[in-house]
Amino acid sequence: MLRYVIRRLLQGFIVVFLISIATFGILHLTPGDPVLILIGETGRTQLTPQQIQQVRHYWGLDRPLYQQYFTWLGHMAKGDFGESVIQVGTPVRTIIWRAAPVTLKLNAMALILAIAIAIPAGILAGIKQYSFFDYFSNVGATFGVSVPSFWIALMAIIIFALKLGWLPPYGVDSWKGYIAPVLVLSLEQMAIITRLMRSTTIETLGQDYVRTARAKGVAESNVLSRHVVRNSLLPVITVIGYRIAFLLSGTIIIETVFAVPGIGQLFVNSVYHLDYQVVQAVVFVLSVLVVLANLATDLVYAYIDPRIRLT
Amino acid sequence: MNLIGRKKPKETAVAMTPSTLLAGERAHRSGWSRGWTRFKRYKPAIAGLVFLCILAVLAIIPGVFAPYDPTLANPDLLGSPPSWSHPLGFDEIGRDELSRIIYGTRVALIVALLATAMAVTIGVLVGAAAGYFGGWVDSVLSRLVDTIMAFPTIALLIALVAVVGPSLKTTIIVIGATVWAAYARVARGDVLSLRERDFIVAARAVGANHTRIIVRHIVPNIAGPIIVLSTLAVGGIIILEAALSFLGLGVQPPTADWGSMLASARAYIQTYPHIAIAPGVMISLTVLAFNLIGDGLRDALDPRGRD
Repeated sequence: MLRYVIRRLLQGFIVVFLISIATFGILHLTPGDPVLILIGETGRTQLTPQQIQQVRHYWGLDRPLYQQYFTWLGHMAKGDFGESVIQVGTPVRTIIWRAAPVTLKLNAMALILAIAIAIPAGILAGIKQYSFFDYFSNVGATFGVSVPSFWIALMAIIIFALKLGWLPPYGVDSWKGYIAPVLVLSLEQMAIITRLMRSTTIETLGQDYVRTARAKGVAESNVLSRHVVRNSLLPVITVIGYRIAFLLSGTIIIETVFAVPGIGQLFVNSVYHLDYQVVQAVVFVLSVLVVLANLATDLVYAYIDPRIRLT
Repeated sequence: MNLIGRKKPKETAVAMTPSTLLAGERAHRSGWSRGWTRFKRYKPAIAGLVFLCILAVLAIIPGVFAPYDPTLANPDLLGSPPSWSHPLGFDEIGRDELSRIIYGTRVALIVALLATAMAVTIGVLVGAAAGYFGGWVDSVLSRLVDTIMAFPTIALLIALVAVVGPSLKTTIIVIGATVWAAYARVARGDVLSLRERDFIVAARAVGANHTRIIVRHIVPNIAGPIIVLSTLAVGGIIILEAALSFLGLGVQPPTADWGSMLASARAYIQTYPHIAIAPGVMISLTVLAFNLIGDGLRDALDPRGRD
């Protein structure tokens, strides 16, 4: 187990290192002068070459690239993400900390909702294969992965906010504001987890140990709860851990549609305003979060299932 | 989901009765014709294929079907609801919504096909190399794949577009360059399990070189899964393209594009809610069509499936 943990930690460390290079590279290795990107259209026309030189020096862009990278990495490691170019003087860290709780709340609720519905639905569909319920949840899951979430969000605003007036069209000032974003965000995960839960349940039902349990006269309800469900849940838990990246991807668009003041909206607005310090920091923080989530999933899985850590 | 609309297979009883004629007939049928027979049996996939053919025709000759010019604005009628002469109404600056939907097919399919081709090519090459050679090659390529997979796709796409500047070309390249990692993982797994199979070991034992093993033995055996993978990939890529354009970071106006049509629908959602409906329906149906075809192909090309 210890060897597996060390190997996995090392891999995670390498990936975080590569992520930092990629995030740094996005702004620095693209064609064009990063200073010109940084000061934007207005800066290019209004600043004198001398002032541009000052900006270049302030951000350390006149030093060799590798030096800039290591300085940046050192700051990042200490949690210093620089200052926002738009909200002048505000540390990026403060901006992110302000937006994080809303995103966390939104995604946690969406994930819990998706799991609470998808796991029982998938198990039931798998046990009663070819039944009406199986057919119904299959169709639902197929539509769930085919319909873009931001369109469902628009339809939800039109129907529940504008026509019926039940929910606010945007913002999360009251608990009602969370209902639509959480529902929309959970739909895609729900569809994917249901499909997976169904197929692993069907696979487990065909295993020898299930037949043995039935043959020795174990009651069907016990076969299902003791053997089938417990064994089918394992692979599904791993996939839920790996879904974090997709969940965060969805939150960027959904927060923008519903004007939820979280990390996602912050990210998109920073892109619109060319606030690259924030863009860089958000991309870095989100992907490190994904690495940590995947690492935690792998370690938990290896702890539960000895077959993994021995290979 | 691959079983939607399919009843419990009834033909098992027939297939299990000994029939020399049937067995003889099956022996000389090629894999592809058997695949087609099985594909045809899955009706939703046929529906998807028909819908896709219609889209392809619309994308190639939109001018024949679009009743009006998709970029011609009629300021007097802006935001007018659907009527007999304009079945989907007008958009926020007075352009015919139906004509824009028809022209939008073109962008959706171009991006979907080119970005998928790019992503699957890179993904399969990288994944196959990692799986086949193993060792340090595998380690390096796998960490690269892990790194790209760690970024939330949309975040990476947006960041890249923000720096390079949005356009049709950027959209295709950025999507292709980002989503390949997932396919590399699948291809690596397939090749890895194939490498240890007896016929590959035998080929290596009789002295076949890497090129021969890859071309003659690996490629034909992963072709099926790769075709299925590519088909199922298209749907996700169409949604990514629409999402980028929806955020104003994809295809730029005045080009008719479903994602950017939804972007203007969002801006005018209080005043002209009708323009939000059609583009979303089209994106959903197109993605659904590709997904259904992919499911049909997966069943048809699975060598373990029954006839």
